[in-house]
Amino acid sequence: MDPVTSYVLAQALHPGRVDTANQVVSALCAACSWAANNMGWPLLFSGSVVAGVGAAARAAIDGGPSGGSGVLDYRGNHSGGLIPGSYIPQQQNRVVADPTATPVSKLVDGVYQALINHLQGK
Amino acid sequence: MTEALQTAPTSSTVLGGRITVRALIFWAGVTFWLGNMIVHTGTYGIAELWASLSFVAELAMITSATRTIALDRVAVLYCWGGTVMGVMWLIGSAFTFFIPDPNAVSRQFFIPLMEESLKLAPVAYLVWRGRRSRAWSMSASDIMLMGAASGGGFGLVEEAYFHLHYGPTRAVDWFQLTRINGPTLTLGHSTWSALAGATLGLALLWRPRKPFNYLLAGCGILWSIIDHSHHNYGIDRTGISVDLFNFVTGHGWLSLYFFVIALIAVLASDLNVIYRVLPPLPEFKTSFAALLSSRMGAMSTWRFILTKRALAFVSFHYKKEPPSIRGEQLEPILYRLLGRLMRLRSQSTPSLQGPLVPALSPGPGNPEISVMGG
Repeated sequence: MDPVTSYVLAQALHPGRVDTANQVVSALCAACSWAANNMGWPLLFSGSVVAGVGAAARAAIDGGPSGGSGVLDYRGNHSGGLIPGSYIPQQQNRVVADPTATPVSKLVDGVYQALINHLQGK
Repeated sequence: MTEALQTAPTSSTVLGGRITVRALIFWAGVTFWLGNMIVHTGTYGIAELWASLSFVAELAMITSATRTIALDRVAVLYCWGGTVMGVMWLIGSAFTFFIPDPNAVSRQFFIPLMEESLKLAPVAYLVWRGRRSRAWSMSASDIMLMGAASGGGFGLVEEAYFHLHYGPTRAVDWFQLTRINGPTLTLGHSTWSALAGATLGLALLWRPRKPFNYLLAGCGILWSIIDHSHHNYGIDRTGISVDLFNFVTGHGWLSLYFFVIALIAVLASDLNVIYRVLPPLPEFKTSFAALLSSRMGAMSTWRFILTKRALAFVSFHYKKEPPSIRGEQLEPILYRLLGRLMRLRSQSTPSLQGPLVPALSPGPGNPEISVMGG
C-alpha cells in the first residue's frame, strides 16, 4: 500500500475531525511498509536507523524533540537546564556585592563563597 | 555561538505544529530498528530486548547511588547504540564488498575493532562535547552506564538473530546477555562497552598524569577488542593461535571478572567523591520531606540529589586542577549548579534553612522566599 492511499484510508477510517497524530502515524506506518517492500529491508533498516534514531538522539541531547527532560543537559534552554556555555562571567562578581541580587541569588552567592573557601582550604 | 545555537530552531513542525519532524523521523527509526527485528526474530527478539534492557536497568539501579545522569540520558545512549549499529552494518557491507571471505583473518580483527570503537563513540562524543562543561560534573558511573546503554542498543539486533538461528543459550546469573558455550563465556556487547566506559570514566575522574591517563582510559576498550576478537577468531578455527587467545582471555571469563572489578572501583571512587568532597553545609542536606508528598516533590528531591552529586564531582576536580582551569571552566559551573541546587531546595522544602539564610527570612522585604516556600 502506498503512503497516499494509506493516508486517504486513514482519513476514511476516522470520519469527522481526524486527530492529527492518527493521521501522521498512519501515514508514517504506511510509508514505512511501502518502503520496506520496495527498497529491501536491510538497506532501509540501516539507513533509517542511522538517520532516524541518530537524528533523534542528537536532538534529544540538544534539548529536543520534546524539549528534553534531562536533569543536567548540556545546552538545554528549557526549564532549569544546566547551561554552562551561557554562563555570564560577571555573575562571579555578584559574589562580592550586588545590591540588585534576589534573595535566592544572595543565598547562592553565600553558599558559593563558602564552598570555594572550603575547596581552597581557607 | 552558544546563544545562536540555543535560539536557532531545532526542528520544523507539521500539521499545526503538534508533531515535530524530528519526532517523526525518530519514530520511523525506532519502528525499523525494533519493529523489523521483532517481526523477523519473533519471541527471540522480544526476549533479547528484555535481556538487554534488564542489564541496563540492573546497572542503572546499582549506580543510582552514584550517577548524575537521569534515565532519559540512558535511553538516548541506547538509541545511539542502535544508530552506530546501523553505521557498523554499512561498514561491514563495505568490508564484505572488498573482502568477501567470511573467514578472512582480517575480518576477525577489523570487525571487533570497529564495533567496540563505534559503541563507545557516542559516549566519547558526549564527553568531548562537554569537555569544558558537563564532563567535569560526570561521575565514572555515568560513563559506565552510558557505555552499557550504547552497547545494549548496539548488540540488540545481532543477539536476536544469533538466538533465532542457534536457539537459546545458557547465561551467567544476573548477566542475561552473556553466553556460555562449553568452557567459553561470551560477555556480550553491552558488558564489553560497560567495561570500556568504566575505565574511561575512572580516567576522567582520577585524571592521572600522562601517559597513565591514556593507559587507564584505553585499557577497557583495548581489552574489549581483544576479547571480542578472541571470540570471532575462534569460530571454526583450531591451533596454537586459538589456544593462545583462550589462554590470554581465560576463555572469555577474565572479562567478567574485570567487569566486576571495574564496577566496584567505579562505585567506590564515585561514593568517595560524593560523600567526602562537599563541606557539611546545611544547605547541602537533602530534605526527604517532599519525597512522599507528591510526584513533583519526589522528582524535585531526586533532581536535587543528582545536582548535588554533580556539584561534588566539579568540586573534586576543582581541588585538583590549576587556577586557570578553575577560573575559566569550573567556577562558572559551580556557580550555576549551586543556583540550580538552591532553586530545587526551595521547591522541595517549605522554607530555606541554614546559617546563610537568616538575613533572607520571609517577610515584606523578601517576598520571593514566601512565594517559593509556598
